[in-house]
Amino acid sequence: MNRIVYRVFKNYYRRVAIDDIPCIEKREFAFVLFDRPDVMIRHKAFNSINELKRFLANATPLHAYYSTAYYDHPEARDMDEKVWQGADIVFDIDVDHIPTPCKKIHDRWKCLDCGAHGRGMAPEKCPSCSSKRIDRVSWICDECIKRATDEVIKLIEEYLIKDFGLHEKELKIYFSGHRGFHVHVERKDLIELDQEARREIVDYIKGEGLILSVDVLRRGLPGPSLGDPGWLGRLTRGVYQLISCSDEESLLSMGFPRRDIDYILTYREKILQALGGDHPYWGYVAKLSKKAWKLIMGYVKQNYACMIDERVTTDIKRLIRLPGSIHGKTGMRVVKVELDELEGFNPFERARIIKGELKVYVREKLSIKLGGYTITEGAQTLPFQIALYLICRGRAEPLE
Amino acid sequence: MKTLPNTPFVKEAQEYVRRRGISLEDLGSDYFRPMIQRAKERIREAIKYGIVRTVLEDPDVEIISYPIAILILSQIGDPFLSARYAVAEAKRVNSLLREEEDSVLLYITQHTFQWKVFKVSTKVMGRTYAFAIYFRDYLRGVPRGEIAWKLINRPLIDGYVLLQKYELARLIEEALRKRIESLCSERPSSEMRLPTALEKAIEEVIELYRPYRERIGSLSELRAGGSISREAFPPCIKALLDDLERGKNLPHMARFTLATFLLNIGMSIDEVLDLFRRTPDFNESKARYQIEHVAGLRGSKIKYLPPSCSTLKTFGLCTSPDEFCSRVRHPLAYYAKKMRRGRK
Repeated sequence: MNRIVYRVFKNYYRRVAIDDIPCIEKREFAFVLFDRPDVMIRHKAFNSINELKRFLANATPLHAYYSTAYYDHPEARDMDEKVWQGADIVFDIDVDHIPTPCKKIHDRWKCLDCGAHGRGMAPEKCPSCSSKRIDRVSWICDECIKRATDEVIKLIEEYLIKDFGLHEKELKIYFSGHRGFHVHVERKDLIELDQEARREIVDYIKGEGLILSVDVLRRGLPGPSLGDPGWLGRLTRGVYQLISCSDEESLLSMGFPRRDIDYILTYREKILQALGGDHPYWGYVAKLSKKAWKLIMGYVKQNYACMIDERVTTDIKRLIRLPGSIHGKTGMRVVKVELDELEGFNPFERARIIKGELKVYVREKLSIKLGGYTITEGAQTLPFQIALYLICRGRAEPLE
Repeated sequence: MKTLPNTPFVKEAQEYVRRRGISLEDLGSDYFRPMIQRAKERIREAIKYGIVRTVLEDPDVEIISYPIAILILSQIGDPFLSARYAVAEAKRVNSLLREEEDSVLLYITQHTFQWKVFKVSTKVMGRTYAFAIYFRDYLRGVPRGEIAWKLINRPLIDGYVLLQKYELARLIEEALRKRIESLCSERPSSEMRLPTALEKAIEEVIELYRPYRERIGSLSELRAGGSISREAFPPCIKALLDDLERGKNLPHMARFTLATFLLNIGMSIDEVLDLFRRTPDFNESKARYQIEHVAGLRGSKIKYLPPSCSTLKTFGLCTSPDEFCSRVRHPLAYYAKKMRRGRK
């Protein structure tokens, strides 16, 4: 790794104020250092923020993590000896898991085994040789960040506050330092929830397992209404929206059978009126075919579910980036963000660790806009933070 | 309080027993003979019928026989018997609570289980909900693997899940079942000197359970020969089998998955039935009917396949998928591929 990067990181860790970490003495810490970038040093423990700060200033890690879990013996090397007491609930929203149209322009992937490559979101495995060793080159552009912040706002306002009854002050939002956000829930009475319970929370937020049987509705039993709580209301609003906004073309492209399209278009007003009131009548919607019904459920899920990374929330022994630390692949810091700051969030401003400018040589054509700057090939002077980002990504060299 | 003898698990009943200051030695006296008798009866009913009856002739006998039954079971230390008793006792309480006043359910959940529950009267989708429970307490007690109980299919407002009375009774059943199981699994201290009457009761219960216990099958015994390879099972099936072998109470969908999987890889109906003897609420004729049904011998005559991976995921039964799982979309495909690979 570049000397200039190390210098910037070292300066940062010498003067940084790390936010208070609840129950710091019960957490495991882990680090990756500059001289051994492929080794994670684990099972570290600190008794106080000051002790941690001293460590950071001396060691200058490339990456720093802490456990969402609380342990009796966080320093123990064996997971059983650590004795798990509980874990914060954490949500991860990462553009890596959200398909955005701009990925086609700025993201690329290459299979390390057969050399196949392509543009856009990287596949799980190589389409030509099925290898999973895929090198991804992904960027954060302004559009990606916008998409991620929208998702965070939805998660917090629609789900965590409205449905789960959490308070805004119990939620801490952090920019992850790269392509997403982490939302930490700090409510003591939830830390003991096991993996299965967390899985249920994830399924709820991702819209997994939602059922509203069309058979039940066909039998004339009462269905949900627009203002119902949680998914019942979302479902009704989704159906209402789909029927009121779709035309023949969009229904066809979604794969609706001809018969259902004719039915929707002919009786649209009648269906909407029946669904709209306090005591909605679902009999008309229930006349749609099973296939149409399946498509409708898919539409509802796609429009209302929130794209969180389930692995982060269900893992009760997860290591997550330390708030205040620097992400070694981007040179940006994990920074706390308030809910009302999310709109128009600019990581190169808010997660900045260095001011000033730097002249760099960009090795290749990137077709990307970073923090308002269009990056071209060749030598150029950029804000230091953006230059640092390009250097950390291995796409630019400092010229000074 | 009329519900004390009905519900000997409530905090107040336990305090009552504690206040009586009954020692282990006391249990040897004639006074406690009917209590030990009833404790044995409780366990016998659990073994035979899968549900304990409510007997209200003598409230004292009913209250005190409950902890004695647990004492007997913890001395025996057989996880299958304990699980079966836990299910049977919890079922009794469930059917009782459905008939009780709302206030009784509320009182039990708040005082005995320390759940955050309160009374509401909210109408959603034409149903009137009488209770609201904090989602944390809901998630801790909810029966797994049943899609209607998934949080997403429940009205959730401001952190509270709406419940009807029979649903709250079911949550209490689940919680009580777990509580009894954990009480029965506490290892008794070795210095404990039991009175002869209790020793005798323990012997009798063991004797009573023996014929049931001996018929419990295990997969390793069944096909030690090797036409079926447990190694080649996908992780979801392995996990279900582990749960079954530990005597855990599996939800309906889990049983369906396991039974159809095992039948489809070539196990016989009797072999599968013997495996299911381990379920704590086992009922031979019911289980046989269901297994024969999914095997295609009854009703629709369709031989059922296990659910696909995506369905299993929805039901929360897809646990720790491995690398191999990413290549298949069905548990049977996993097995077939693994077996082929094994033969090479």
